[in-house]
Formats: sequence, structure tokens, C-alpha cells
Amino acid sequence: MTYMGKPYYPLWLDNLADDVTLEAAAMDGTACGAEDVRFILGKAREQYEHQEFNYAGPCGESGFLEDYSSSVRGMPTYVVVLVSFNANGQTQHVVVNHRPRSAMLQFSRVMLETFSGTPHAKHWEGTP
Amino acid sequence: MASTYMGKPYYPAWLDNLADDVTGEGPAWDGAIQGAAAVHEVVVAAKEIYEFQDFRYAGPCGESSFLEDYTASVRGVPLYVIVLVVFNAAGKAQRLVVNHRPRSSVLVLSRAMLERFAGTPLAKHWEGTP
Repeated sequence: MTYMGKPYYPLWLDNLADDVTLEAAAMDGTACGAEDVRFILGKAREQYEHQEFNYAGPCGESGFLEDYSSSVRGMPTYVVVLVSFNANGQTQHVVVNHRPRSAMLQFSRVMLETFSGTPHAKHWEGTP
Repeated sequence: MASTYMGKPYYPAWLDNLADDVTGEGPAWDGAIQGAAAVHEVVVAAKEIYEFQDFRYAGPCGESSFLEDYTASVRGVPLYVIVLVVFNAAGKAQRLVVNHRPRSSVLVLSRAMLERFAGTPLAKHWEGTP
């Protein structure tokens, strides 16, 4: 995981508000709460074969944007993540956007496999 | 179709300032739409398909980008959208990434765009939508 040739770690991931929410192009519904969001994002990150960041930095007055290239099971996958912070500086809202459509749907299927049989699976069930 | 930001009409100025070789990507299609004419046509078509656009944010993002965060609906289905516009050194929109969610709504939009562009060279971006 690199940004401008150096190792990168998303610090916002260690600063989740208790009532943080997660939405995504590859998901239906909203995941709520720090424990669930951290768990889902952790599993998602395990699917990436690499992450090369084009940008990671401020966006607007209280947001943070990540723009990176990746691959999942050999398929090129491009991702834009928008993080919104609350008044306390904690991560309040995360939106993860995978593209193109084929890669988004493949990622959704992979997440369904990962969470099959758990309460989280509902976000990826019905993926064609 | 009403498009509002903080209660006032909103128009994306970047749409009239596309680089000749601008690219457009998103979760609702495959491949990259290439060139100002094609990107302009696709954005205008999408705006016609939206039933409304209610912007929560439209403004700078980083040093050379612009972000839009809005709520819309397509065929009665709620659609949430984050648009990232990256400008080139000349200040023109060079790269457009339109991020729709949730997944079910992405596919409704993708099917609607396939219907809209059926029989045209641009249809390839939405063909194969399940």
C-alpha cells in the first residue's frame, strides 16, 4: 500500500465514531457502528492484491478523499473513498466507490463469500 | 428535473469546461468514456434520467479537484452520488469519476442508460448489465 512511493495507512480507520456509517457502490444498505464498520473495512482491505494511491488528503471543509488503484482476484479495480469527520474530528461517514461495474460486482460477490452466514451478508446478498 | 444546492438552482460549471481528452468512469458502467463530446452527452443523458438532484456539497477537493455530493432518484429508486472532477494544469476538467450507490440503484441506472444509448457506439459501456 503506497502513496507517492511511500507506505500509506488510512489513519481515519483508527478514529471511527461510535455511530459511524459505511455505504458503498458494491453494497446495499448501510453498515452502522464502529465495530461493524471496522470489521467490514478490514475484510475488504484483505481482498485487495495491492493499493496504489493517486491522492490521499483533505477534501472540502471536513472531509478526506482517497483515490487509488487496486486489483481483486486479478481484476483491475479503481476506488474513490470519501470520509466525513464529525465536530470531534472522528470518522462519521465513509463512502467507498469501486469501479468499473464489472469490478464492482465482482467485489460484491467476493464480500458475499467472505460474510456468508453472518449478519453482515445482507449487504451483498442478491448480487448478480 | 430540479437541481438544487442549498435551496438554489445548481449547474455544474465544470461540464462546460471539459478537456478535449477528458475521461469519464464510474461504478455504473464498464470502460472509460473518452472525449469531451461523449462525456458531455453521457452526463446530460444521466441528468435527464435523474428525477431530481439535491446537492449536499459542491466545492473544492484538494488542490486541483472538485467534489459533488448529492441525492437523486431514478425510476423511483433512491440514488446517492459522489462526483470527483480532476482538473488539468489548464484548469479544464480532465478526469470525471461518477460514483453511484447503493448497488441495486447502480444497476437500475445502468439499465436505464443502456436503454437510452441502445444502438449507439456508447451503448458498449452498459451492455452486459445484469
